[in-house]
Amino acid sequence: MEGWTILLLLLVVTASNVDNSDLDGKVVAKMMPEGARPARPRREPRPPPSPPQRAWRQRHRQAARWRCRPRRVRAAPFAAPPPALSAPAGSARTMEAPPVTMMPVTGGTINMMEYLLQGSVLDQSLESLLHRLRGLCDNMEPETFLDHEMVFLLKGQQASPFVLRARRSMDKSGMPWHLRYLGQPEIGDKNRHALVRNCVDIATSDNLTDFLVEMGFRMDHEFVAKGHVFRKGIMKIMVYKIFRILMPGNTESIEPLSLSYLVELNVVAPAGQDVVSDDMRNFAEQLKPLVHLEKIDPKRLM
Amino acid sequence: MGVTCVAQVPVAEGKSVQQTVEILTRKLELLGAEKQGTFCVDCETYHTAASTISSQGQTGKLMYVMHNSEYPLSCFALFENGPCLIADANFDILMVKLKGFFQNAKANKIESRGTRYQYCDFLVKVGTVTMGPSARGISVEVEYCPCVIANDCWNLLMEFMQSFMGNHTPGIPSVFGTKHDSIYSPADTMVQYMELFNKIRKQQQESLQKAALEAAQGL
Repeated sequence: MEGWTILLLLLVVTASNVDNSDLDGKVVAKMMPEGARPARPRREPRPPPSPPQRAWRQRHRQAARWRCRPRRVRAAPFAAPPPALSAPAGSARTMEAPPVTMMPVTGGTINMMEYLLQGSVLDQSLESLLHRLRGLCDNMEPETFLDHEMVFLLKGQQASPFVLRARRSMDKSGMPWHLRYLGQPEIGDKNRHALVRNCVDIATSDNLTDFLVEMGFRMDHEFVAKGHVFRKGIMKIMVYKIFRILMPGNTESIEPLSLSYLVELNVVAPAGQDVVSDDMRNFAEQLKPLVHLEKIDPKRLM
Repeated sequence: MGVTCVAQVPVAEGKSVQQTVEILTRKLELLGAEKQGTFCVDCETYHTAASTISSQGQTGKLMYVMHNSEYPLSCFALFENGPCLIADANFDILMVKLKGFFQNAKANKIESRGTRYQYCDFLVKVGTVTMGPSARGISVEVEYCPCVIANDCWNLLMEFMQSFMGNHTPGIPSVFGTKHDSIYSPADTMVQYMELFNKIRKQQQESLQKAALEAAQGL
């Protein structure tokens, strides 16, 4: 097709050279196949770029490459283990993070809400509940956890103290600590099928408790939680037992607080996404009669 | 991540902050260092709110919350001579929740912005330190990437700094003293920045006091 167009154009050009009448235009219009464009006048070949031009182009291309790279650099303790001392010279070039451009450094996800349903099962019923959950939830490796949670209070002149929860994994080493803020629960709304509360989840380094004490927080109580975790989409289901710590600070000597397991179904989503509570209710329905998950007002239990 | 030294470079006599930064960067470029984008380190100051002081008898401690563009997903919270917490960016949200207990001294926000250079195994960041709208000083950060033990590469770092900082090369940073043979971490870099920012703030206050004194004497 292209060959034809060029051939035709050449013919036309020769014709126009011979006879300069306005017939040429009509001839072209008639003879050109539909949709074909008249060829552009040929340009002079470009002179080879001068060395500074070449360097600039190279830099420009490199800059474009850097910009395209994802920037997910985390500081310790989330970073990979530090490189060995005997790293060969020049390897720094590859291990370094790509240059960062000016970007807003303050961040975080504002206004996340936790939607929560709670219930409990007796120890005897645990296996049948786990069996049901394994069938209902996402197909993943069974996951267990053993966590130590400390609850810190900061008292001011306000009536209610500020509460923060610091949690660390006891069975998996090298995991970041987890700092959690939970706001006042909202349960009044009948249209919402779950308890809703503001929450801020922060992964931190392992000196969290020292830091909280430095901030003026005092530890109120602590416990150990041991259990299983399941997922279904964005829903998280935790089945766990709470253990009392017999000697403060010694997580080895613990005893179970009760003869039952706590079951929690939760979703963390941006504020206003109440649709998730419908999904949660539907899921909770599927767990009946093994466990009844409900909106439970923590104030009522105090 | 390697071992880092953060230092202040005085403004050259008869020159502005900007001109001194240009002299430094020109020296680096002549040395063969490659420009690689920009960097920013910022520091916000939080006061313990009056309510907590009175109820707990605490002295009004200052808490610093810092960010470093080299670790864009992290946030560093520090106390002077205290622990440094490395957290993810949600820590900023927590500080908003804590505003009844910790108040942000917005006027004290200080930051260093500038260009990032790479020269073989070294990363050099020359920044202008600004507090509010005006430039207050110059910071130079030099990182030796292949090593993580501060004492093992301090001499090498110093020698490299001498090549472009001349007689403004700093002494061994105080954080190196406490590290001995342990692994250097990004938190140590942030402690150095916090010390540098505090030094610049103090210089600023002293110069203001001096000016006020001179004005009073003049009257």
